[in-house]
Amino acid sequence: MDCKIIETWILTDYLDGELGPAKLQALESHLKTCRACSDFLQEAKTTIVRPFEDTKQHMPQQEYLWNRIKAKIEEEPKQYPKMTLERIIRSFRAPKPIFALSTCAALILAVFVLTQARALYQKTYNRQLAATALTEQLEYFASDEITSFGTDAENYFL
Amino acid sequence: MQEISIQTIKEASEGSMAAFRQIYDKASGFVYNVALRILNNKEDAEEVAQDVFVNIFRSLDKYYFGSSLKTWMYRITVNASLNCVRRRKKEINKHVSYDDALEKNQGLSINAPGAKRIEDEELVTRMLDMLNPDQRACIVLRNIEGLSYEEIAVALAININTVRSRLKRAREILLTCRNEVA
Ligand SMILES: [Zn+2]
Repeated sequence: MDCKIIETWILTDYLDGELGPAKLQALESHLKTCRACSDFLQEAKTTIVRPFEDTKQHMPQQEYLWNRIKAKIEEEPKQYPKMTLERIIRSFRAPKPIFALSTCAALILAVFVLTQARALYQKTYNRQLAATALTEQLEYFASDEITSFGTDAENYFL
Repeated sequence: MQEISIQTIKEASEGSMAAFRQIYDKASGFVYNVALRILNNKEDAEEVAQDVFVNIFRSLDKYYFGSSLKTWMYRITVNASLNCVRRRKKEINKHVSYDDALEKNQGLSINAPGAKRIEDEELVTRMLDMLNPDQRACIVLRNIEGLSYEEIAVALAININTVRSRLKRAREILLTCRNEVA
């Protein structure tokens, strides 16, 4: 076994308890025969693990911080997020294909409905009004999607 | 963090301050701690913690119950902290180079026997100071908060291999600084 690979395992997965059983066995048998690597492991433990082990958790001044939070919440009452076209486009970058797909489906549906709506509107109203309806429809379809696909998607709207 | 019941989250998302206070009581410790470790400044950490909880309060209705609330909070906290670091960096327009950090850490004595807690604390602060903010966030989540690679990946929106390489690089830096001093 190459010592360089062993060092990498020590610095990452081994120290963090993420090494799979096969690699773990390979590493342990290497350590039995390689002095340099077992020294490296000892040094790594003392230098980069131990100092963090007993760090205490710093606590905020609970009441002071709570009052600040409460004041800020009361000062700006909660606004329900408005879906803008820009946000919908941005949501395509979400990592989950299912989310992108469903947004896509929603958009196609929205465009379809809107095309219909637009045709109808154009008969009776002017272009200005149709544009407003378009935005409203988009908002409706988009907000419907967000509630059904939570997981990671919400982070893209923060 | 002890579990927060779905009922509590639901009530808080509907605007109950009493329910939100329960979430705050359980989460304020780690939110503040992570911010403080990344920022190394009490006032900034308080500001970030405040923003994080206001943000959480306003976004709870978008939280999906299948995902971990804690990981979601870590994500908001780390994002807010890293944004704060960037803002501060722009403000002071000063970059501490690796050499500066090394120089500042001359005399770093990691192996000092019987080191007291206060010295450990000082040591941890100086170690974190040697890392860039992305590496620091990884080390804080792994070595102080005890998150798994997978949880860190979710919290930082990066893949597991990136988590691994950032941790590796961070630890190489810490080892090098240690060796320079020895
Ligand atoms: Zn070896």
